[in-house]
Amino acid sequence: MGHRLRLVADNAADGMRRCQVCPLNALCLDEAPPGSAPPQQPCLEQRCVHLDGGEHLFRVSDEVDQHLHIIRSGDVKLYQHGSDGGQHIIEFLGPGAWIGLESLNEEQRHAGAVALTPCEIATVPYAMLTSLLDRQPRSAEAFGQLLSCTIARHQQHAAMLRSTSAVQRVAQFLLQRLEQAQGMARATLPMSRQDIADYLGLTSSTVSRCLSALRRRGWLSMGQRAYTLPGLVDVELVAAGAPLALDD
Amino acid sequence: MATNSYRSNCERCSHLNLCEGTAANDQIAGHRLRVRRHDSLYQAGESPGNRIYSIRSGSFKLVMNRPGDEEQVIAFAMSPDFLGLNTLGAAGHTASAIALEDSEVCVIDWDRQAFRGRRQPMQRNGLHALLADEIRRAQQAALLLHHTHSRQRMADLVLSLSQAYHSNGYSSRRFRLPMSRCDIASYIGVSAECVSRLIDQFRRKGMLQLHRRDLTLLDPDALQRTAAGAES
Repeated sequence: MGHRLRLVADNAADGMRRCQVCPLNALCLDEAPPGSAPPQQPCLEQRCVHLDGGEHLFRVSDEVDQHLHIIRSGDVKLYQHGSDGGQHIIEFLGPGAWIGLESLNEEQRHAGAVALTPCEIATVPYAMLTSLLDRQPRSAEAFGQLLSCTIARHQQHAAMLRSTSAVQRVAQFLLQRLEQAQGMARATLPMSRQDIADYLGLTSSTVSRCLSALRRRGWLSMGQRAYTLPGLVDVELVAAGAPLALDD
Repeated sequence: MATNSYRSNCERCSHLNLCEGTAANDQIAGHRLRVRRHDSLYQAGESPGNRIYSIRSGSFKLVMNRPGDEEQVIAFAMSPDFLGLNTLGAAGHTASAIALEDSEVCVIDWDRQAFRGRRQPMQRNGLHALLADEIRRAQQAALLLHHTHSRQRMADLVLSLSQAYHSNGYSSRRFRLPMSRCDIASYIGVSAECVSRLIDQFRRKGMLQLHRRDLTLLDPDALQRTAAGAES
C-alpha cells in the first residue's frame, strides 16, 4: 500500500516538475480539476533540439514542416537575404520566444533562423498545439494573443525606423533587451555590431559611437558578455528623445 | 445584431469560410458598419474588445502616435484586409484606424469565433492563417524601411495599390489614390516634398501619370524594376 502511494506521489511530483519547465505551460491554463492527474500524453511528443552558436534551426526557403519552436535557453536571430547577398535582420529572439509563428500557412520559410549562442529549443507540432487549444478555450485566446503581439512588435519596430534618431534607437534597443531579461539587472548582446546596426537601420560605426557615448557618461557598463545600465533613468530619457551629443 | 448574408453579398466575400457555420441559418457572425470619410473606426488607446474588422469596401489608414506629439501612418488597408489583428487580447489600440473614403467593414467577434471554432477547426486555422499573414507583412514593412531607397518604397506602394484594386475587380492601370501625399510621406518615411519629387521623377520617365489623385500606370514593368532597385 505504502509502496503504491509513493509511486503515485512520485509521478505527480514528476509531472509537476515537467510542467514548470514546460514552455507550453502558459497555454495550459484551465482544465485538470485539483487532484486529478493531468492527461499529459501529448506533452511527450515534444522534442528538444540543441544548437550550437552559428547553427541553423531552418533556412530561407526550407519546406515548412508544421512545427513551432520555443526557445528554452539561448538566443536566435531571424533574418532574410538581402539583394546584396548579406543578411537582413528581422529580429532577435531570446528565452521564452516562439519561432515559426509567421510560417503557419506558408509552404516555404521566408526567413531563416540561426542560433547566436548555444540554444535549447523545444519543438511542438502545430497539430498537437491545436488539440491542446481544442481542450482549453482560454488557451486558444492566449495563442491568438501571442500571434497578435508579434504583429504589434513588428509594427513598433517599423515605426521606430521611420522616425527616431540613431542614439534613440540604440537606447531603446538596450532597454528592450533588459526588459526581456525578465527582472535581471543585466542583459547580453550575443549578436555582432553589424547585426545590431542592420536591425536598427544604422551603420555599425554609428552603433559603436552611440554605445561609447553612453559609456562615457557612465550610463552604460559593458562587460565581456553582459551589460548593465547604471544610468537607467538617463537612458530612458534618451530613448524618449532627449538630445545627446555623440562626440565631445 | 445579425446581418442577412444574402443582402450582404457574403457569397462574394473571400473570408466567407471564417464566418460560415458560426451563426444560425443564413445569418453571419459579424455585423456591418459604415464609416464615413475622415471618421475613425477606432482610436488609439480605446479598448479593442474582442473585435476584428474585415474591410468590405473603401480604405483606411492606420495612424500611430509617436513620442513628441508626432503622428505616423504605419499602414494603409483596403479590402480584403483585416483591421485590428494586432490587438487580440491587448488592453488598448496602438493605432487609430481612419477611413480615407466612405467605407464599410464587417465587425467580427474573434472570441466567439474561437469558441465556436473549437468544434470547427477550419475557422480557427483560418484565424491563425490571417495572423501569420499579418506577421509576415509587418516584418516585410520593417525590412523595406531600412533596406530600400524611398524611390523603391514609393514604387512598391503604387504597385501594391494597383494589385489591390485589381484583385477587387477594378482596373489595375487606372485608379484613384485614396490617401494624401502627406499620408504617403509619413508611411514611406520621407517629407511630403520628397513624395512630390518622386512622383515627378516617375512621370518624367513615363512610368505613370497623376492628375490630382487620379493615377494612370503607363509602364508597370519599369515600376517593378524600380521597386526591385534595378533602376535608378
